[in-house]
Amino acid sequence: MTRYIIRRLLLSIPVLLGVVILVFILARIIPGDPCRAALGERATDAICNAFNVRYGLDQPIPVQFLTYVGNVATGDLGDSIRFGRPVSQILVERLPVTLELTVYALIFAAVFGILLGRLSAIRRNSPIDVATMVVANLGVSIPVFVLGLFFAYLFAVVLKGTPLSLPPSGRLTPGVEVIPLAKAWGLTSLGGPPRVVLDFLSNVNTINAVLTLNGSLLVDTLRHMILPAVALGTIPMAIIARMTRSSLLDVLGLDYIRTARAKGVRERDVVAKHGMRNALLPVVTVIGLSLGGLLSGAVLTETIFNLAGIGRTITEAIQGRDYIIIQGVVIIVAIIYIVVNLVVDISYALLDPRIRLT
Amino acid sequence: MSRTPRRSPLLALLATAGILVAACGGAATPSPAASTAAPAAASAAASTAPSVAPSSAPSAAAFTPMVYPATGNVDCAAKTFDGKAYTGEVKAIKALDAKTVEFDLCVPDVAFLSKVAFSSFAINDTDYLAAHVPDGSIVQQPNGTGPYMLKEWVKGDHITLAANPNWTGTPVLAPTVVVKWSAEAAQRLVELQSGNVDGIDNVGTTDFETVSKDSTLKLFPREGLNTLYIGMNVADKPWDNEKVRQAIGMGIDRAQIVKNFFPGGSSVADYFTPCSIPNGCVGDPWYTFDPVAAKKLLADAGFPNGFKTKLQLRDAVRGYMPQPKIIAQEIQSQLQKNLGITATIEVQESTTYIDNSDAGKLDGLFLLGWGVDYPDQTDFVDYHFAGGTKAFGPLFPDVVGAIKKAAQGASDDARKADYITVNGLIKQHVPMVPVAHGGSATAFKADVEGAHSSPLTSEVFAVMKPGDRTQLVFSQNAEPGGLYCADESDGESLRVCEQITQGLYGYKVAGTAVEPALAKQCTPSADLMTWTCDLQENIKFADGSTFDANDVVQSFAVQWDAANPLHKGRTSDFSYWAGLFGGFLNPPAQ
Amino acid sequence: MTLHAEPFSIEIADPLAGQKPVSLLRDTLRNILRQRSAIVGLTALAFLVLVAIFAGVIAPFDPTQPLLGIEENARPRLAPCIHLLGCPAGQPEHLMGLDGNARDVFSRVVFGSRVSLQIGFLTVGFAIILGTIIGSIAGFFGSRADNVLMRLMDVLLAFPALLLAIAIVTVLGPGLINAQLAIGIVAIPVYARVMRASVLSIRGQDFVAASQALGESSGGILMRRIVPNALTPLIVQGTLGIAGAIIDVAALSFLGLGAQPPLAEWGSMIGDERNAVFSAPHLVLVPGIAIIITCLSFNLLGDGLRDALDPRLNR
Repeated sequence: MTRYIIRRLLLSIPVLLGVVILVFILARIIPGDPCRAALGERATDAICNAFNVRYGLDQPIPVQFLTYVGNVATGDLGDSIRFGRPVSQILVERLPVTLELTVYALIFAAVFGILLGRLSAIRRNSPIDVATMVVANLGVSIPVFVLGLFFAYLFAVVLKGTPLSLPPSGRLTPGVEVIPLAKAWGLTSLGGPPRVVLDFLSNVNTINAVLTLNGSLLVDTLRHMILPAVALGTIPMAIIARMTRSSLLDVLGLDYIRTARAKGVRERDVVAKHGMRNALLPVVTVIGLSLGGLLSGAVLTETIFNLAGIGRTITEAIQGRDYIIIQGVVIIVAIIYIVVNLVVDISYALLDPRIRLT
Repeated sequence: MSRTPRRSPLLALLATAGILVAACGGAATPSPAASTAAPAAASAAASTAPSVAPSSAPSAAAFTPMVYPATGNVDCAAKTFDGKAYTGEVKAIKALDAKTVEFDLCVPDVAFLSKVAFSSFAINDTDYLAAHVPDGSIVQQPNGTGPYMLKEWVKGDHITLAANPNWTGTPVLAPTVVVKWSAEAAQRLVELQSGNVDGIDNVGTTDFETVSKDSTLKLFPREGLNTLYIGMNVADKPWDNEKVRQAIGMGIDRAQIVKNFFPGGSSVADYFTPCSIPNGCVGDPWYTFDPVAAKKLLADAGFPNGFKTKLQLRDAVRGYMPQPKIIAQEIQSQLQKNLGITATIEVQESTTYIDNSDAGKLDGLFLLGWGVDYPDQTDFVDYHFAGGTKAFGPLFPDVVGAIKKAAQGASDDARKADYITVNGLIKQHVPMVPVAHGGSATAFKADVEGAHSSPLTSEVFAVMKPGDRTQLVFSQNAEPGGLYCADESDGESLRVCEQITQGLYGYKVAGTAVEPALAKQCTPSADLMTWTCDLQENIKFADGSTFDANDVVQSFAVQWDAANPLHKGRTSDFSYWAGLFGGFLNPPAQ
Repeated sequence: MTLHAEPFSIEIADPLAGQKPVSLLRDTLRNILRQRSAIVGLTALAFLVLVAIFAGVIAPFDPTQPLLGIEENARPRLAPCIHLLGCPAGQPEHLMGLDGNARDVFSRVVFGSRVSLQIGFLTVGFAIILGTIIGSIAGFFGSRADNVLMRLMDVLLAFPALLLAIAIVTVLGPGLINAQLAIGIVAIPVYARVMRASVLSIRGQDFVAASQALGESSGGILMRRIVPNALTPLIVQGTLGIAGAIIDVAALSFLGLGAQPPLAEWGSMIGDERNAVFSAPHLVLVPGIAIIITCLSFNLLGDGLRDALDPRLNR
């Protein structure tokens, strides 16, 4: 097991290096001028020359690349061109938003996907099954941006004034304050990596609300998260429902289930104790793999619901030619993605004793 | 902007991500120890500001007037400073005493007051500059004499402003102001309709009617101090033929475009400069729409059956360009129908497009516009037709001559005749076809007293009272880049800065006229080459320090002198200084 | 989802001539027609294809012609006018109203079906061809080629697909072709992996060894023995992938990176009018529903195909 993990980690090094190279090349060959993107349309040539010197953009590309790889290897992701602040700091502010969004979307997708899939499998070929599968197929067929616009219209405008009304955008209602954990716990003098971790956790509003027992913050956060999480989670929910259905149908046709039934075990227990446990194995993989889809979808969801997460940060950085942000954020996302895949594979092995990792 | 290694924060970040990711994967839970680990020192640029303050810390007792440049002289005739090239118009800035400042110029500048009223030239405290410029913290944490002060800036999400306790003007009506942002007009409108915000900027073109009909909302149309034009580069064929350019000028039904695709409050552009700018629309108005005459001109020029060309644009919504692709498609269809010209639409990325236009590389027809910086003709015609941009190709000597002559005039009346000539020559040569002055609007909840819109997009929150609420929430297009506005150029940053800081002059609420702010009055000498400003007394900055003449000199000096140790901001380019006052002392080597 | 059925029997000269061959192909067809979802999907798809072919006949107007000044009272974003539903007969009929440029939305939606179907097939076709080549080389030749190629695929997979596509389009310049290319590129790893898995599972089987023993070249074995047998999972994956490709290209167009004006493409129709969603909701809803129906039909068909081809479900 340990050897497997080490091997996988080693294997991910060339992948990561490939990511760094690819993203660096992509960032450089994007047409456009970072100077005028950052400084406005009326910046003169003289100003832009000075700007390029300051950011090393006047150096030959290979030199820029080596400098960059050196910096990344020592943990420095550089300073954003547009914001003039370290990329790591921007990540501490923006990653929690995307994290919160994708986790809620994943929870929605997993819970409802598994429930629907199970229902559908148990009632195979019944109207419920057909209806569920239609919903599931509809789910994968609706673009996030159509669903998002529709939700915003329905819940914020049509249902305005009813208990069902939900905020159409943003993370919190103006006026709801988030007290940084560092301040709440009197740790403002804390520095270094622990402080970064603390600030990161503090920026995850849900964690912050729970740790500081701030009920109104928790409620407001959840209310703002419902629409984007559902819009984002619909496609993975549909995929998970289909996977659960077919996987459960597979398992329910196996001999040991027949044995259990023959022994007179109640059908409900057959499904719950014998069927689901084994049927969930492939579902776990699908849940893990849908994280990539969620991060992609987050780009559009964050745009439509006006959330300042990393998806929108990267698209804005691409539009604004902020190479440094593009590079830094994409590398971090790739690392997260690689780690998640590893975790999925390992959990797969833990769940299924038949699989031995070598 | 150093590149010192930041190993630790990144690793910690990865660790956090790892922990959380692992938590989702069901393998581990975040240990509370991780969040309460041992303290160390980092990540606190603001709290550990290195004290690199210059030695000349003024004591409270004696006032030592500051003069800039302290050494060396600007030679206006030779256009040099200390032997180095200098292209600017400012010669010297002197504090005469604690309450008087004198500006010496190289050329007469009738627009001087309009320029100093621009929010980039707000006054900062000398000591604050010394303490917060070197580490860049001033970009995140401004300090001004305005009605509000920054309380909190949650990056990416919102900015909270609180009333400035040291403000001595009319008390603010909303103790707290929250500024949010959203790039989509529809989203801003939903926020307003759902009651989450009190006011929004730039109501969408199609939503003017929706807002007007809604009794709980109120629309505040904003006059369009901007111009959308169809440009042509005279160096390229067939635009080198004046008849072809005139044909385009006559062959586009501009009224149809404005009527169908621009929001209320927009007008057909009959001159390049909008009428609210003094001398903007004097002389002959533009050609009337006449497709028959236009076709005849084209035939005379040798194109009886039209020709093929490109119609270039960028997909960026601006005051002058409310619906970029839709307006481009309308012009495309008019070119075909009215003139037989087949144009293919080419959308370019925004910054590439600006680069290409400034370099004169847009070889087809191109759609571009200009929004006012300060309300004077020089802001419009000088940049476009006297050498600021190469977008239209080689300059017309007669136009350049007339513009240069007009800029020297001592008063608006004295310049009128010259601008009649300028406008007439532009109409004759047609380097571009002015299409529209695009109106826009803010919208507020009906119960917000004092709500307004400003033609310069400088809405003043201090005069607004949000019903019985204590908090005014405003949603604008984008997040400010930074809040040290000497070094910012976008309207979104400037609007927030204007609530926090003041300049010597300011613009009247909802107007374009200047009125004194930190100065009681600035008076010019007879030749308009020297401006002397008497300053307000007993003014304090938000941080408690007192405002005096040296603050004025220093606030200007750090922008003016590229070699000043405090010549630093978010981008350190101070593009508005260069744009409005011509150039820097000790400009960076090319 | 590794469905490696028994090899197809595609020999033409059947030794048991006269007796009807029990081919997997026919079995499959029968199986597909037994799947309700596949039938629904196929029907909807056939309808879409007909609409696309006869777009010129169905659409009452030129989809790119603004009607300002051509038709009386035409103005941007005019509400739908349907005579059957009480719209005055004197007013020209526009089933789905006019768009921001005063063009007939119904005609644009009809012509949009051509664009979307073409996007779906071209994009996935491109990804399948490249993915098949990469996957077969990796799977068949193994070792170093496998390592290099699959790590390359891992690099592509380490990006969120849409972000990578946005970056690629930004590099290539906005446009429908480039958007399709970008979505095609990011889809390659999926097909490469499917292909590689199939090749690996088939490579060890007896009939391949037999061909090898008979002296067939590697290329021959790959082309004639292995690739045809790996097609089934590719077809299933591809059908489902078409729906995804249509949505993704629409997303790029929504962001202004895909189809360029005045082409009628559903994603850009939504993107161009998204700020009019409250004043003229039909301009967003109609193309939105068109995308949903198209993708739904491909997904239903794909699901049906998978169920029909999965031997484990044949009971």
